[in-house]
Amino acid sequence: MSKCVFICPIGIIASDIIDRLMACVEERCGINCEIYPPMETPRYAYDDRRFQYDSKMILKQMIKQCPPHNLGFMGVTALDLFVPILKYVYGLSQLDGRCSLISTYRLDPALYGEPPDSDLLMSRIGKTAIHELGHSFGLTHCRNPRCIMFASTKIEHTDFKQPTLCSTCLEVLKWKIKMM
Amino acid sequence: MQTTGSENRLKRQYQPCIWMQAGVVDHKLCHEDYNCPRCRYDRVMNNLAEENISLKRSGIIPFGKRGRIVSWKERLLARPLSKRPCIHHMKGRIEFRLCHMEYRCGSCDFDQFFDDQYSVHAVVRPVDVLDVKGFKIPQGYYFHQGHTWMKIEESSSVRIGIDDFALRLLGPLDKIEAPLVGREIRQGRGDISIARGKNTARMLSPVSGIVTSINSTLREDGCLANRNPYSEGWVMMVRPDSLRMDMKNLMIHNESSAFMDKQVDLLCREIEEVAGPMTTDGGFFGDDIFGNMPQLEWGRLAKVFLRT
Ligand SMILES: [Zn+2]
Ligand SMILES: [Zn+2]
Repeated sequence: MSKCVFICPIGIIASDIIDRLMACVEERCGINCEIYPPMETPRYAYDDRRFQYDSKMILKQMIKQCPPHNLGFMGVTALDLFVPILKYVYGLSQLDGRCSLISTYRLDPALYGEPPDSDLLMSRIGKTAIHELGHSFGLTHCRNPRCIMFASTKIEHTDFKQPTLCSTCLEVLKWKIKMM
Repeated sequence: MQTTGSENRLKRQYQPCIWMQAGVVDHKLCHEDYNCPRCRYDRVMNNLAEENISLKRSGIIPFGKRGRIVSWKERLLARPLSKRPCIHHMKGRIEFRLCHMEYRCGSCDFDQFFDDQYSVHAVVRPVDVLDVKGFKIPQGYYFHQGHTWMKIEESSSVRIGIDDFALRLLGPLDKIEAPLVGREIRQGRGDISIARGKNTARMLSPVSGIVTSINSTLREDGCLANRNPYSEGWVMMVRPDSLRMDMKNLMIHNESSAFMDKQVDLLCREIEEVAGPMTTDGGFFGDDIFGNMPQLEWGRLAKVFLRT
């Protein structure tokens, strides 16, 4: 079996989001995706003062459970995530590691009082997922605001990004893959 | 104008949240200076209360701790008329007063009157506030590179304070001390001292002059500045002696936002230095960067950002 990226639903999340995300990663990155048995809502990571989930605690748990022989192990959740120094996070990953985690919570147009738009939501989810995979392959943040490796601090940044790597990041990625 | 909103307030060590005062929750302190419309907790609690109402309507009895949540108004309305405090009393702004209006503040004359009167004595809150990567920069304020600000007020005096960036970088302060009234301050000298636990630092004066008034609340409750860096959290009033000259070394408008932008980048580099490359993608910095990442080291932060 060729190596693939495992996508692991965490907590309650619509299955069509997972299906469409897998199709998106396969199409854009040419990497096979497989669904991994879902994890329960990570109550251990809930912070009742922030009403949010500590993303690093969830990532730690994922690192413990990371299956062998894969290109990536990505958790996808609809829960609102944070790290202590930031107000919220869209996603995070191990740099040069295989585990990553993304949240759809703040990617949903409904959160910004906009009408439901599943294409926009999926485009944001796809960009966030590929960005985190980029970290897993060892890419760091890029200064080019159109590059997918640009660090989004607000949703406008995500919408402004193209769903692809800039030429510099692409070169770096090719080099990293050669070294792997 | 040298009185402040905080001086009008009855002094309290803790500021219990309205939801706690109403008895809906056991313990919750207010960190928003009773600006409920801005408060996330208030929003969440109101949503929960509404959820419970609609559950009850559809015949489901909500259970558990969450199921017992009702709005603070509903909880207070369950009390006899003589036990219903006015919201302005609950916010610590006035002595005890009863609410006769079933908490419909919108149609309460006293509320109107109070809001008008209160705003005369309160420090004017900045209206136009720029957001630079999540940090606030109000228009009309002059910034010093050591993260203090200066605002020109009436009768040839200026108000001085600490900016949002420094306050969120260092987190909730226990104490902020300005020189006593009558003392001289010098631009670029570490005249202001701040403390958080055993950590202390000095901050640079943005202008030179004579101190005419200080915000004494900050001696016991430095956190007031963290809550309202540009209004109630001011540090001192000063009669400047060379304002025109001093202003050449201060930043305003685009200069201050460009400076803040670079400072946020510098902070990201400092964080990467101690914690490795950032691979978290998301929101702006929270309100206590040092507290959540003490490996940044207090002394180093003071040196790099406060320039002291
Ligand atoms: Zn790039
Ligand atoms: Zn990133």
